[in-house]
Amino acid sequence: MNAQDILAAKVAYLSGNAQTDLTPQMQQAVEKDDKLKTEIAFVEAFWQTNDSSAPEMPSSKLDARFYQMLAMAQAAQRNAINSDNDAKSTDGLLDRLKHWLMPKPALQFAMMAGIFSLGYFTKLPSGETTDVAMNNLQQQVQSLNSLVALSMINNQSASKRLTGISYTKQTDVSDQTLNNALLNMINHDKSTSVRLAALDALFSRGLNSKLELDLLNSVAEQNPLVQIEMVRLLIGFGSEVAQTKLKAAAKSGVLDADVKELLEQQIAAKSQLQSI
Amino acid sequence: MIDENELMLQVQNGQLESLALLFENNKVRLFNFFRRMGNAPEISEDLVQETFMRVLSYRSTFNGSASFRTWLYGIARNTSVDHYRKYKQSLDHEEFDDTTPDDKSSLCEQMVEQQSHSLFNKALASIPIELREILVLSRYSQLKYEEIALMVNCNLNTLKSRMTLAVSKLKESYNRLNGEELT
Amino acid sequence: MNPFNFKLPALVALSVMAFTGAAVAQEYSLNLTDPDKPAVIEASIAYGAITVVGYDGKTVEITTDLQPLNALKDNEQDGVVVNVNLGNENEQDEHRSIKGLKRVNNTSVQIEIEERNNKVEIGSHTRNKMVNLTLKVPYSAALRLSVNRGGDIKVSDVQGALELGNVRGSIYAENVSGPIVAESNRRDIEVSFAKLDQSEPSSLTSHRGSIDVSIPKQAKGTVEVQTYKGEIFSGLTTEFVAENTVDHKQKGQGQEITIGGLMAAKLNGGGQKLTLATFRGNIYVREK
Repeated sequence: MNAQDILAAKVAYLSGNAQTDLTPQMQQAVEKDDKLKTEIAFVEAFWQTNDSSAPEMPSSKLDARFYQMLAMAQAAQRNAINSDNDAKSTDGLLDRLKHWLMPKPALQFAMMAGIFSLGYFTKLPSGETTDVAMNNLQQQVQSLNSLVALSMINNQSASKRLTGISYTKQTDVSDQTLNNALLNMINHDKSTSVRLAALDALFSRGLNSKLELDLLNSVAEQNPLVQIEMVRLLIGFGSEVAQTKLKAAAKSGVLDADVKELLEQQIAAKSQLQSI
Repeated sequence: MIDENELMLQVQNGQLESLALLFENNKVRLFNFFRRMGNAPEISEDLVQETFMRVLSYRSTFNGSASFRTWLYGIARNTSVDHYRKYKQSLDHEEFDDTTPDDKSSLCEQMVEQQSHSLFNKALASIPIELREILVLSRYSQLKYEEIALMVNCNLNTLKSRMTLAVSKLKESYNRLNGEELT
Repeated sequence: MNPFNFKLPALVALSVMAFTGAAVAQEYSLNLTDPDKPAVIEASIAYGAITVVGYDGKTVEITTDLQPLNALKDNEQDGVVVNVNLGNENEQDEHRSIKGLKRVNNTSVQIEIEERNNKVEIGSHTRNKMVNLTLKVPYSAALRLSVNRGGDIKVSDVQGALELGNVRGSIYAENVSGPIVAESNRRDIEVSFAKLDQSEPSSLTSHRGSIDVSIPKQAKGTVEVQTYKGEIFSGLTTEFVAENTVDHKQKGQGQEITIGGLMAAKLNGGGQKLTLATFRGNIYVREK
C-alpha cells in the first residue's frame, strides 16, 4: 500500500464514501512518512473545518425571477388545459408559451408587460433601473425561447418539431444544448423534412469544428436527400477540412451515386469560382 | 422530511407548484455550488435560474432511478459547463467574502477558522476546474463518488485517482497562498 | 356486416377472420372519450392502404377490408419487386420437403385498435394479407398515418394536422387545411389545400416521386421549393426567387454555389412556410 492509496482511503472516509477510517497499519505508515502526515492533516482540515462562511445567501432577485418563471409556466399550463385539444394537456405546456413569446412583436411586448406586472407582485428589489430590468427580462425571454424550442423539438408531432426548429433561429447561437438537439434530429428524426430543416438551422447558427466533424461522420448513413443537402452546405459553408473529407468520401464510395455526382459538380464549381 | 423524488414526479405530472418546494429546498445549496465553482454572485444566481428552467424543460427525463439531487446536480453541472464554454474568455474568479462568524466559538477560534476557510476557498478557485468540480461536489454538495462518477462520465477508480490529485493540487495551492499571506 | 359500438378504456385487439381468396370487410364504430374535443388518429399498416374521409360526426368509423396477396401484386404497378409468396422469403425453406404436408392458409389477421383519451391507434403488421383501412373521422381530427407497402394513403376533408408517410405508394390529400408533413419514397405526393395553416409549418418530401400541390389564390404563405434532379413548374402569380438558406454566413464567393439551392415564393405577402423537396421528381405548384 503506497502513500497515494492511504491518502485516497482517508479522502474516501472523510467524504462519506468509506465506512471506516484508516486501518492501524495505514496509521503506522502515516506516522513514518512526514509528507503523507501533512497531506492527511491537510485533507482533515479541509473536510472538517467548519464552513463558517457558508451558506452564502442569494439575493432576493433570484426568488423574484424564479417565481416569475413559475407563474408564467403555470399560466401557460392553465391556458393549455383550457384550450389544448390534445388529450395530454400537460405536454402542451411549453407549446403554449410560444404564442406569448414568438409570433408578433405586439405579443412579445404584451408578455414583457406581463412579466413586469409579475415583477411587481413578486417585489423586484427597488432601485433596479428600468434598463437593467429590461435587459434581465430580455435575457429571460431568450432563455424561454430556448426552452420553448427545446420542448417543441422533442414533440411527437412533426409539424411541431418543425416549429421548434424555426424557433431555434431566435435563440443564442452558442447554446450547445440546442445545437446538440439539432444534431440529434439530423441523425435520428424519422421525418426527412425535419432532418432537412434541422440541418439548415444548424448551419444558420454556425458550425464549430466538433459539430462539423459529427456531421461529416454521419453523411454516409443518411438518405440521399439529406446527404446532398449536407454536401451542399458543407461545400458551401464548411471548413477546408470538411471539404477534403468530403472529397475522400466521394472517392471511397460511401456516398450515394447521385450525391457523388452532385458533390463533384459542386467541388468543380467552387474551385472555378475561387480561381476567378 | 421532504421526498424530493416524489415532488419531482409531481412536477412531471403537471403539479408545477411542487417545483417551488424543490427550488426552496435547493436554491441556497445550488447557489453555493456555483459560487464555489468560482462564479460571481450574480452569475451564480443566473445559473440557479437556468438550472431550474432546465429542470422544467427536461422534467420528462427524470425517471427516479437516481435521486433527484443527483439529477439536479447533473443539470447544474451541464449548465455550468455551457456557461464556461460561452464565457471562458471573460472568466474572472471572485474573491469569497468573509461573512459574520458563528457566535458559538470564541473570537480567536472564529478568526483562525475564518482565515483558513477563506484560504481554502481561494485555493479551490485556483485549481483546474475539472478538479475543483469534483471536490466541490464531494465536500460541499456531499454527493457520493458513484453519483459524481456518473455525472463526470468516468469510472469509480478514475474518480478516486482524480480526487487524490485534486486534494494534492489544492494543498499545493493552499501552501502557496498561505506563504503569500504570511509574507 | 353488423356495425357495433364500443367504448374502450384501454386496448382492444381485433382478430379479423379472412377467407382465402376473397375480400372480407368489417366495420366498427368507435366512440371517443370526449366527442367534443378533436381526436388524434394514428394508423400504421405494414401491407395495405389507408383512406380517410372527414365527416360531420363524432365517432370514428373504421372499415377493414382484407385481400389476398395477389391483389397486392396488382396494386403495385411501378415495377417494384413484390414477394408474393412471403412464406418462402427464407431461402433455406425452399430446400425443405413438403411431401405429405398440407398447406394451411393463415386466415387470421391481427388489427389492433386502441382508444385512450381521444387518441385512436390502429395498427396492423400482418404480412399475409393486404389490409385496406377506410376511416371516417370528425373533420377536426389530426392524423398520423403510415404505410409500408401495398397501396396509397388518401385523405380528404380533414382540418387537423396531418403526418403521412408512405414508403412505396402515393399520398393524396384533398381539401385539407391543417399543417401537413408528408413523405413518400417511390411515388408521388399530391395535396390540394383548402387553406394554408398559419400556426405551424408544412413540409412535403418525396425521394423518387413528384410533388403536386394546389393552393387557393387568396392563401398567405411562403412556398419554398428544392429539387436536385427534378424540375419545378409553377402556376402561381407570384414569382419564385432564389433564396440562400444560410444568408448570414456568406463567406467570400461561397454563396455563389446554387446547385440544389432553395427557391421561394411569398404568396399574398408571405406567411407560414410550406416546403417542398424532391430528389428526382418534379415539383408542380398550382393556384386554384
